[in-house]
Amino acid sequence: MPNDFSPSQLKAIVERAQSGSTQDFQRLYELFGKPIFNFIWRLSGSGQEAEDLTQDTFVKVHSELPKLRDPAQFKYWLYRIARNEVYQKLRREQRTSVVSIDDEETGFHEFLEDDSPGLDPEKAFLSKELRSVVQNALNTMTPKYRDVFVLAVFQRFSYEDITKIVGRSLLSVKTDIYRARLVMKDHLNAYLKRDQ
Amino acid sequence: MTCQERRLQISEYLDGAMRPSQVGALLLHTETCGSCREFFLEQKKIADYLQAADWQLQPPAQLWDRIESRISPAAAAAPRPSVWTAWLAPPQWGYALAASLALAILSVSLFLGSQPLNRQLLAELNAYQVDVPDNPFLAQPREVNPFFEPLDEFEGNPFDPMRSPK
Repeated sequence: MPNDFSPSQLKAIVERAQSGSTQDFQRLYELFGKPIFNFIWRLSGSGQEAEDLTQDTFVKVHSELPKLRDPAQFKYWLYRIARNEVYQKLRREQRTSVVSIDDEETGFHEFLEDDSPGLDPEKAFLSKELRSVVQNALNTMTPKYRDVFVLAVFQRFSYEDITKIVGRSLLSVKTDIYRARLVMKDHLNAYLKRDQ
Repeated sequence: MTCQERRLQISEYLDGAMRPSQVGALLLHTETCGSCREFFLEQKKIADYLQAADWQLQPPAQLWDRIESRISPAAAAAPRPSVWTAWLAPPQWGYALAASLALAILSVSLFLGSQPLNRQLLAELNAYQVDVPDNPFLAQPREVNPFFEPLDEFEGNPFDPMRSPK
């Protein structure tokens, strides 16, 4: 995981990858591949597209890596490329937000199962339903709300880091996250009422 | 600060992005303002739901292989040696053997060429003549070669002024 490396260690790996070390570039994939994959999946709503776009992202990173002037900024640069790949794909396809209750495309992926002890079947079912509702809510969000919301809530980036990735002001990021929360609230109303 | 601004702060607080010095004032406000308290509780519950729904997909194991094949096309495009070309290609030791043989032949040639000329043998070879009729070189019996005479019986060689006639 990226958090296991100090910034200086990560910087050294990036510098060696910039010099052409495939081994170090693979190391970067091992560190960031899964988070990037999940980030793209949250933005695109499709497991298959997440695979393709993760490939495209890392291929592009490999070709552009020598141009990265500050290796310490690699993480933000990587997420920026991933985000751009998603939106370029969306622009090409000009797709509209399609809400799918059953996200069958993700069925063939390996999930990290919820291994909480004592999780009964009813709760497991509700958990699966909740996940579908959350993903549907993300799919219906405006892209500018969706990417900052995913970065803050699921990727756990600080607001300052998010500004480096999306290239917007801190106030704009805060405001868009707040608005995304309102959208999420509308979709989760059923669950809120069920628990009351 | 308006309630709208407070709600923005609530969102910030739930993401852990709020400065500690501002948290106290916010929580105090939510205790006194009903609408803000309701909003805070709703958003807190949503944050708990999102945490419960924060599952991670595992990327396919072969994804790195696909990436690697695209970033290293040279390795993928390198032609594999054919069985036939490998079989016909001379082995490395063959070149060394050929060079050794050439050197040996050259050495033998130089050795043979350095031996002194056997004049006796050469004379005997010169004495050999084919018996051809009317051969102008056979005017005398065969055992007498007009072009060869033993040095011991030589007398009066007109071409050797140094030798005195017997």
